[in-house]
Amino acid sequence: MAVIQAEHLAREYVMGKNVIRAVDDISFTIQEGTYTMILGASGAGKSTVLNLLGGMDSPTSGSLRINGRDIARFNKRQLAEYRRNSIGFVFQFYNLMPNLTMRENVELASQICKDPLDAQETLELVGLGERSSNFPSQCSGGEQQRGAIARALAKNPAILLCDEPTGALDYKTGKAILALLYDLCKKSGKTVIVVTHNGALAPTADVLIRMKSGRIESYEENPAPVPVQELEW
Amino acid sequence: MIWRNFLRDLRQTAPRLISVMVITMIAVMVYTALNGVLYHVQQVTAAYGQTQNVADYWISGAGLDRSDCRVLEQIDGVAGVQPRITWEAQERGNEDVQLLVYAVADWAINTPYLVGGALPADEREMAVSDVFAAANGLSVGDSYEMLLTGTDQVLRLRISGLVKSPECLYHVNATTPMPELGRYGFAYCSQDVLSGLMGSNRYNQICITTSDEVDDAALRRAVDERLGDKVVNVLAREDNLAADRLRGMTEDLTPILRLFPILFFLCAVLLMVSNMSRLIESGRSAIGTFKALGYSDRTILWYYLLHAVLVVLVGFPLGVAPNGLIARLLVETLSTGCDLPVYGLANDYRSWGQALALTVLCCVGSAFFVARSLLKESPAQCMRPQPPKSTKPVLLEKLPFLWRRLGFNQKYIIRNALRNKARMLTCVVGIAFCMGLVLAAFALRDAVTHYAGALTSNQNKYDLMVDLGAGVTEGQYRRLAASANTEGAEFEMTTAGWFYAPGRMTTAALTVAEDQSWLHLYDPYAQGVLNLPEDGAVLSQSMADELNVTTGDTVTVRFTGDSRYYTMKVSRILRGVSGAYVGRGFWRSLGRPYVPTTAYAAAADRTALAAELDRYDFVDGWQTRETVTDAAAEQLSSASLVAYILIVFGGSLACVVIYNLGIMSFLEQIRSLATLMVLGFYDKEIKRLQLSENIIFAAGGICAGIPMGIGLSYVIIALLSDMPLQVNTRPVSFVLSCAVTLLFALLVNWMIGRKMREIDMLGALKSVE
Repeated sequence: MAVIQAEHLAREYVMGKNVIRAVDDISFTIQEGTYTMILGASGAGKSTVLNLLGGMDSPTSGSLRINGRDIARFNKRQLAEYRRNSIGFVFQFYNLMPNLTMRENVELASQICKDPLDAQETLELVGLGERSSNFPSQCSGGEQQRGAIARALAKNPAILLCDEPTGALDYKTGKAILALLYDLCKKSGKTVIVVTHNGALAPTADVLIRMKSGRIESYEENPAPVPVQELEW
Repeated sequence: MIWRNFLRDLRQTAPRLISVMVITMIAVMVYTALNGVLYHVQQVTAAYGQTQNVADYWISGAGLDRSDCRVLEQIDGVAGVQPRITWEAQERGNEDVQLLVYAVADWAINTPYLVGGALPADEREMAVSDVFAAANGLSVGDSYEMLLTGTDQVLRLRISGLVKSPECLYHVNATTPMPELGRYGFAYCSQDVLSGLMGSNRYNQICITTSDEVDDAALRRAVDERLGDKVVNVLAREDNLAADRLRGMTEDLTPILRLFPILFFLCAVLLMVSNMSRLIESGRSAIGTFKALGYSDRTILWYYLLHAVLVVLVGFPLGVAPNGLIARLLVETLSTGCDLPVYGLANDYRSWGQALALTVLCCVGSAFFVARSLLKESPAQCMRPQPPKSTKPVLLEKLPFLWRRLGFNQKYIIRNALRNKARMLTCVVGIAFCMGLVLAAFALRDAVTHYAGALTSNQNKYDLMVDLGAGVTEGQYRRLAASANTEGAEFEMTTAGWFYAPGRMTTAALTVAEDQSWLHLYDPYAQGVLNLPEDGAVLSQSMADELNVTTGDTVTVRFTGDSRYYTMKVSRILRGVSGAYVGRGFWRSLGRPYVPTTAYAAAADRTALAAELDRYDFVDGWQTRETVTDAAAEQLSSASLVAYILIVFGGSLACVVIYNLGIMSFLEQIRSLATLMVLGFYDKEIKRLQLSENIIFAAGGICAGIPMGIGLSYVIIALLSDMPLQVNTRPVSFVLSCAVTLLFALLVNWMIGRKMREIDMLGALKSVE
C-alpha cells in the first residue's frame, strides 16, 4: 500500500529578485514499511523533500498525499497535528532538549500524541535503557542520536524521517545507527526515509531515490538490500 | 570585505544592539540628568551668592552701632561687615500688602540684583522686588507709600529700581508660609530712610561675610564675647531659609538624586555586560573563520569592539540629548516659589564624562575581554561548537515523590530556570525593581490622597474659613460665634515668631488655636476632638529639625514689636502641621494679647452665613472649606512631581530589563522551541511553555518587589520631609501595582509571542548547537 504519493511536487524560494526551485516538479510513491533512501549532493533538494514530507514546509505546487490525505493543502495547525501524530523526525544534530533527561526527552514526544509507545521500552529498544536518567550532555554523540531515534519512535509514527542521521557521528557509530534504523523498519513495519549524501549507503535501501538540482534523477527499487554491517566506505 | 561583512552582520545583531543601546541611553539619561540637577542648583546658588555677595551670617540684636561693626571686622575670618535696619511695613491703606524693608549703609553685601532701573541714590528712593512691583502695578519712577509696622510713620519713596535679592530667594513670613511676593515683598533703601526709628548710626542687624575657612563655632563665640547681650541671634546662611531654601531643598533630595542614578547604572551595567558578552560570544565561529582565513587578531578584535563602540556612539548622545529638558523640568519644580534671576542651565560635564567613561568601560570593556578570550583559542577551537553545559539533577529531583508528580512543562521550566540561575536572578531582581518603583508610586499617590482626604474629613469640618480684620474686637468675633446662621465657631490667631534654640534660629508661624478643637484640627491625621497641650507648643517636624529640638526641650520665642523673650516647652512634634501651635489657655498664661485672625465656622445655613459675613466690616473675606483644602492638596501634587519623574525613569528601565531578559531567554531557547514545533507541539502549547517561565519569574519579582516597594515608599516619603505626608498604602494599590507589573511582563510576553511566529524551524535545527 502506498503510504506516500507525491505528484508534480515543487518548492520555490524567493531570494530577493531570484526564484530558486529547490524541488522541481517531482513525482514518486513510497510503499508502507519500506526503507527508503534519498541520495544526492548538497543542494540537490533532498532535505527540502524531507521537510515537505515532514510537514515542516509546504510545497509551492503539486500534491503530497500521506495515507491518502493531501498535506499540501494543510494549514499551520493541521500540519502541527500531522507532525504530532504521523511523523517521527531524526536530525543530524540530534536536537535533544538539554534540560531533560533521555527518558524525559522521549516522554516529551510521547505525551502529546494519540498512541505512544512506552518511553522506557523505546529507550531499551534503541539500547539506551541504562542511560534513561542521563542528560544529553552526559551521553556520547551516538547515544544522543539513539535518544533522538527513541524520541521519534515513541510517538509510534507511520513514517520516520531521518535527515543525515549519521552526519555528526563517527564511522562505526554511524553504521550502528543505520543498522538500528533498518531493523526498526523491518521489525515494526514502519516506513523509514533516510536522507544522505553518502552514495556508499545506496545498496542498503529498499528504495533509492537519487536527486539532482531539485529533480529526481532515478528511482530504483532494490529487492535484495545489503545489510549495512557488510558495507565498507 | 571583512567590513562589508560587519555591516551585514549588524542587521542580524540589530535587535540585541538596539536593546543595549536603549539601556545605555536610559542609564546615561538618568545619571546625567539627575546629577545635572544637583550641579545646576549648586552652580546657580554659588554664582548668585558670589556675584551678589550674599552674607554668611545675619547678626540680629538691639542697639547695634558702628563701633560694633569695627569690633566684628577684627574677628578672624570676617571679610566684610554691613550694618542695617530691617523693618516690616505695609502698604498705606492696605494691610494685606506687606513689605520687609532693608535700610542699608552700603550695597557691598546682599547686593540686590537689578532687574530694571537703578539702586537708590538717596533717602528719597528705594528699590523693590520686581515681582512685588509687577503684582501691585508699580514701575520705576512711581512713588509708593507705606506704613512702618508698630509706628505711625508713613514713608513715601520713589521706586528707583526693580530688584531680586539673594537673601530673599524664598521670602516668607508667618502669615505667608509660602512665598507670595505680590502680597509680601521686600524693599531696599538707604539707612538714612529709617535712621529716625532707632537713632543715628543705630541698627538692629549686621550682616557679615567670611572667608571660606572660618570656623562656625569659633565665630559665634567671638561674636558673643565681643558684642555681649546686644546680640539676639546669629543666623548662618545654611540656617537661613530665605537665602538657602533652594540649596537646602536640593540637599534634602540629594540622597534620591544621588542614589537613583547609581542604582539605575548598576542595573544597566549588569545588562550591558551580559548583553555585550553574549553578543560577542555568538560570533564565536565567525572569529574562528576570520582567524582561519588569516585575519590578524587586532583586526578581528576591532571588528567586535566596533559593535560596542557603536552602542556607545548611539546610546550616549541619545542619553544626554534630553538632559536639558529633564534637568530644567526638575530644577523648575525644585525652585518653585524661589525668586531667582534667569540662569541658563549649567551642564554637568563631569557627570557626562563619568557616564561616558562608565559606558565605554562596560560596553567596550566587556566586549574586549570576551573577544580577547576567544582570540586566545585556536581557529579550530573557535569553530567547534561550545561544549555543552554540565547538567546536574536539581534539588527537587532528590524528592522523587514530588518530582514524579510534576508534568513535563513544570520539569522543563524548573530545570531551565535553575540551569540559568544568573538569568533567573537578574530577571527576578529586574522585575522586583519595577514592582518596587510602581508600588512606591502608588504609595506616594495614596499618601497625597490620604492627606487630601484627611484635610476634608478629619482636619477641616467647618463650612467657611473667615479672615478676620486686624482690629477685630472680642465683641465682634463673639457676635459671629453667636449668630443664628452659625452652628459652631472656632478661632485661631496666627502671628509671626522668631524661634530660638541653642545656636539655632528660625522664623515661623505661631498659631494660637482653641484648647480643644473639632472644626479645624492642627493635626490633619487626627480624628474627632483634638486637645492642644496645656504646658507647651506643638512644633512641625521640619521646624524641630531646623531648631534641632526634640519633645521635652524648650525653645525661646520673640514676637514682632515685642522685645521680650518667651520660653515654651516642646510638648509634641508632628509632621503634618505647619509652624508652631499653642492653645489659647497657654497663650493667655504668657500674658500676650489675643486677637484672632481666622474663624472657622460651621454653618447652619451656608448661604445665609456667607451673606452675613459679607456685611461685617471686621471680616476681610471668607473661603469655603473646599477651596482651602483643594489649594492645600494642590501644593503637594506639584511638589511630588520630582518623585514621579524618578519613578517614571525607574519604571522605564525596569520595562527594558524585562523585555531584554525575555528576548534573551527566547533567543537562547530558539532551537529547543523549534524542536518542539517539529515534534508537533501546537503554537499555543509552545507559547504556554516559554511564556509561563516568564510569568513565574514575574511572579517571583512581584513577591520580592512588594517589600522593596514598601521600603522605597517609606524612604521617598521620609526624604520629602517638607510635605505633611504619611505612608498609608491602600490594599488596592498593592493589587494595582502587581497588575501593572504583570501587565509589563505580559506585554513583553505578547511581543515575544509574536516573535515566535518568526521561528524558522528548518534554519534553527540545521545549525550546530
